[in-house]
Amino acid sequence: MTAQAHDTICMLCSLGCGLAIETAGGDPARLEYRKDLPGTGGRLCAKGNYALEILNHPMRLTDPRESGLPVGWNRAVARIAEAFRNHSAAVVVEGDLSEEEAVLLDSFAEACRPAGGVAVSIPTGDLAVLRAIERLPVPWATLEDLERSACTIAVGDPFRVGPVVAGPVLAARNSAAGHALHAIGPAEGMTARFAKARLAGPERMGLLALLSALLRANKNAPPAWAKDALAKLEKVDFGASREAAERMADGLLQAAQGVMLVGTADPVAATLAACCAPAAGKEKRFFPIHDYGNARGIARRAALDASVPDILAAARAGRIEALLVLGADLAASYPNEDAAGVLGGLKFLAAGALFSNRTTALAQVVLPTAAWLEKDGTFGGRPCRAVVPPAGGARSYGEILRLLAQALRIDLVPGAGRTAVREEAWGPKDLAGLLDEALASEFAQGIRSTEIHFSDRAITGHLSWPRALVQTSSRP
Amino acid sequence: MKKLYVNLDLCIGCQAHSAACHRVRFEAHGFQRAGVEAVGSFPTVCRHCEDPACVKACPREAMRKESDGTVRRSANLCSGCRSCLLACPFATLGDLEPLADFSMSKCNLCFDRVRDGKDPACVATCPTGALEFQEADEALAGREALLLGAHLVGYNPYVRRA
Repeated sequence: MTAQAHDTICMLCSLGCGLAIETAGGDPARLEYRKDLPGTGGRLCAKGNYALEILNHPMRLTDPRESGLPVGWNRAVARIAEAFRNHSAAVVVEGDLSEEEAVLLDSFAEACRPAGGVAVSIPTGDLAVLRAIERLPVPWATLEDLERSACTIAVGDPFRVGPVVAGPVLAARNSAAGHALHAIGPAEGMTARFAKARLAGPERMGLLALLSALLRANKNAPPAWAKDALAKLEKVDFGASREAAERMADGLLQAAQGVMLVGTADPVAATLAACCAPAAGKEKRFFPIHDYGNARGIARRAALDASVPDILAAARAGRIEALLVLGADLAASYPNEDAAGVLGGLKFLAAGALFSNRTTALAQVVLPTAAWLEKDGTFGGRPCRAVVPPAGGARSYGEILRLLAQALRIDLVPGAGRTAVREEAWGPKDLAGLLDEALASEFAQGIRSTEIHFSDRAITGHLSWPRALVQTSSRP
Repeated sequence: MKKLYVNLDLCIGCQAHSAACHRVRFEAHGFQRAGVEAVGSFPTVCRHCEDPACVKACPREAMRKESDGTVRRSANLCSGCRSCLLACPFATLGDLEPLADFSMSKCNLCFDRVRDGKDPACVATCPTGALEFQEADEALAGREALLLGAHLVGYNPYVRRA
């Protein structure tokens, strides 16, 4: 029996912590911690410890199914192609898409354009944040930057989304006397426990209060949209949050090095990043952390058309009638948009996943997909090889897109993506638009708490670690 | 002898160590909340005492102090009478359910990993570096340490910055 070691990374959040997986006779045998990887240094959270269980899990989907009955791949894909030909269609793919598959997704959307077009997206509002930030003059932070940061503003609960990120933040807090960790988000969160000051309550409210304070305090020539935004924000009564937000903004602007650590999908966070544009001698960086791995790589490689809420709204309005969802459990992840109701009302829904979930339960065609450990590709900027072949008859997102292109008789030309769309996709105008939406939805209808959803629960809900934690907490 | 130390300044209570223990050994030695919520989480993990009360209490000699300093439980001899649980002053032992009835769970400090030159699984996985596997001198060197229960140096793993 041949033992083989594979160095790869975890995709259960965007930190990309190292995994060393040993296989024996082609089967995954052991998981070890990779100390050679810079930044994370072999550290791994509870989720990552169980990444190996995804492979050969007894509950994995292994065969394509149509109306609950097993069918071949050709039949399943032909059914999807038929629906795509007859209806206006969209594709939503989960964030564990490799960068190569993202290029393919882009080519797929481009190839479909002459035939009426297919909207493509990845889940979570991260899309809006990412697309905006990619165009902003705010450099992205690394874990090393977090350790050097003099002021860290944590939005949401990043310690919970990716606990490994807490290491450098707390190291900075414990080593630098002047370091300040501020938190915006739930008071009971793991991050807020360590914060010097925090804006409690709904995240959107805290974000807007800080945005308002930053726009007022930033003496750099503000862009035109910022003046407009400030005028709108001045009319808002932030109450006691106002002073706290001003102190927080001063701290961030005065710090020689500051990092905004964002663990939420709120698009207003992108607007905030725009306000942190580097001033002379003051370096500000941005560190978004997502609940699924390769979102940034995807945003770089593919011109995504819309966020998932946009696609759900279009489906509700009847502009999208057929939907292919790969990897994501939209029905569970978007309760605010009534995703389950919208998906149930579609003329055709196909869903690919590792495990059965609420979305696959609504789908006419269900496809078994491969986990990131079962496919070659670039994840988090690092090329990774497949640890094991896909379980049963599962196929990667890329293979599914190729099969669908064949069935639709379209040619996928990698690199022939929609560059023009990508260049025009986001800009300050869009940020101002986001702010309008935020104000309209939050202040006209009253502030409500932003719900945070972890799309990776579609996977981690099937692993042993929650059981381990329940056992622990039930001890006397 | 190297022991497990916890830097409470770095502990966020993520329970990754518990998951690692469960993955490697099918056990889950976990953090339990201290009485005062604001204080933080405290690990209920075996201290591998120099003069272990659990070894004295065990009627079947299932608990043994090994030559490498670890206190280990023999699964073959253990009948699950819970005498060790009652005897342990740190409440670090627990029922090993639902994996096996009539048995107890106990940290063995991953002696097999340590023998191979690795850290125990909980230390290797700790996302913030709060868990350290060190000699007592190393753990306290270079830091102004406040020992909780200073008279228990060598027994007590808690280290907190002054």
